[in-house]
Amino acid sequence: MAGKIFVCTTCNRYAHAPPGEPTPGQKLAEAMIAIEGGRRGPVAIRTVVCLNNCPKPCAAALRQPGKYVIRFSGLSAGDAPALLEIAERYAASMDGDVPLRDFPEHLRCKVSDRIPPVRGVVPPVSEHGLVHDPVPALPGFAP
Amino acid sequence: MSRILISNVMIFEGTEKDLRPGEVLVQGNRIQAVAGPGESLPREGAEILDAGGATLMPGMVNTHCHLTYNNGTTVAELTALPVEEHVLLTMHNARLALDMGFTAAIGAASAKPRLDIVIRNEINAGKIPGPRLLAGSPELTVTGGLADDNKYDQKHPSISIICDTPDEFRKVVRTMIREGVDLIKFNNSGDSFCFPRMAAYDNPMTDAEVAAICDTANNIGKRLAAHAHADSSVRQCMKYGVEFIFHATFATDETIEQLEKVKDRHYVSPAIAARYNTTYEAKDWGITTDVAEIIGNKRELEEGIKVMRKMRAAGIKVLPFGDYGFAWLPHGTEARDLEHFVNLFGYEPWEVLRAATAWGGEAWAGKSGEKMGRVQPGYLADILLVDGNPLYDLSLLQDRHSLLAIMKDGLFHKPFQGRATDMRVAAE
Ligand code: FES
Ligand SMILES: [Zn+2]
Repeated sequence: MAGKIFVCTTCNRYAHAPPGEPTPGQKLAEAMIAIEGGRRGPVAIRTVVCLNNCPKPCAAALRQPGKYVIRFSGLSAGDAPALLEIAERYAASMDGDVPLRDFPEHLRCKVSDRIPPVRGVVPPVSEHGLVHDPVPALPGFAP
Repeated sequence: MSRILISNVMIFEGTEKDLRPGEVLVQGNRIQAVAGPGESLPREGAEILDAGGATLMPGMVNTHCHLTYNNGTTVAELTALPVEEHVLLTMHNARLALDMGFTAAIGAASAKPRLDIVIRNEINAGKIPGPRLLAGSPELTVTGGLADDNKYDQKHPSISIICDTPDEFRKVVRTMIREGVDLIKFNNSGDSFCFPRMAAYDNPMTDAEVAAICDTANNIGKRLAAHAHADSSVRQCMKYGVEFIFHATFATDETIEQLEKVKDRHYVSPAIAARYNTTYEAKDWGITTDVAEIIGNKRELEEGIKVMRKMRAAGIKVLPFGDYGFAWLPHGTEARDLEHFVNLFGYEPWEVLRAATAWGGEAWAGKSGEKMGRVQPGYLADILLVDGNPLYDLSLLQDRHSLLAIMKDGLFHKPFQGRATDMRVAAE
């Protein structure tokens, strides 16, 4: 199984962490990286500057071309294992519309949005017949 | 002159569909030579950097950049801080842009008149880090237009200079040129961001006003950009030679056909995150999707998607990034636009990367003849090393940890960090 998850490491934008201390968002990302054994584990972890959930930190998101966008807010480092689990389910699903009942229970109330993909856009298939964004399990290049 | 040979890389040239293995020699501030598969470059006198199979690509170019915006929630709020703090904020945003892989940027309106100018000067002097910057003017607008946030009995500063009549515009354009801008920006459309005052499909500027702005700027060789959602606004851009057409949301099929005929003279910048993110990701600031629909933002998104798909098919140069610096599309997240182009407009990853690099570089250089945005001999050495293949996963470019090295003008802003897993990719 493989997947990808975006984590905001700025959180909380509106309440700065004391100097030298990791932000709550960094703590969440670090917890995930520790579980996955790195940023490029089975679930790739993309640490980003913001996921537009700033008033309700911390934030994570599942996004893949052609799929539902699922956003989470109000997270803490303790949510890392559950987020990684749902990231794998999301990656394995056809359209990213993972039913709420399949989410680890305590994560359900932290789903802030489920945004359907814009209709009529098919994720592009390159000339090699490869769908964009297969999230290779190992760093590397096209065969 | 310093010589750095970057070996063991997969090269994204800027215009090609695939990566190819090779190596790149940087001498001084330019790319001196590029070797393809099976070739190698002379190593004498060069510092050798084995990039462990990383992707080497041109630095990205943000052709619709507002370094002065403060991640505020309204247009007027973008300038609601004293000038001293505002200079520092702009300086920090410039550094962040370079940290995120943007080696060049076009100032597409400065929140206060001289902010872009002073920051550009400091960057050029090598005193602060930042992308190569073209300094923009504030938004030139008319009474009641986008970024005139006054009320009859209430003065309210905004990010604009308000003019009515061709003479007033001429004077302001000349003043801004005197102060040192590279580009004049004007608003010949409304926007959902000034609801309910003026809708995006309304154009408040007369032909005479647009002509006065454009003639005055063109005469002195300055660049032009227009906030042009409305069909008639896009037409004005073509008629009066406005190189950068921002948004173009309501361009009709006929207008797109006209634009196709002069596509070598114009760039279109939809700034679609100001639509997608506002419609779907701004509810924590009170803008639910329903609110976005009421103010017209959702419609701008939907029409913009249709128009950009047509423009892509017509071969018009549509460029990513743009309008970052609002709360729900803050600085540092610009590379998300690459994802938006794939998801919303149906671009292939290589196509949007071409727009982000080769076309962006060409747009930045304009008539100067400078070569930037490609990995070719003679081009400026603005280079990124990426930990993985962005053609397979564009989201790599949203994560600064994937940027293993950032070189601008032949100098490392971020020295090579090493790869987690080295790979040998050069053809042997
Ligand atoms: S700062 Fe974390 S979501 Fe914006
Ligand atoms: Zn703009």
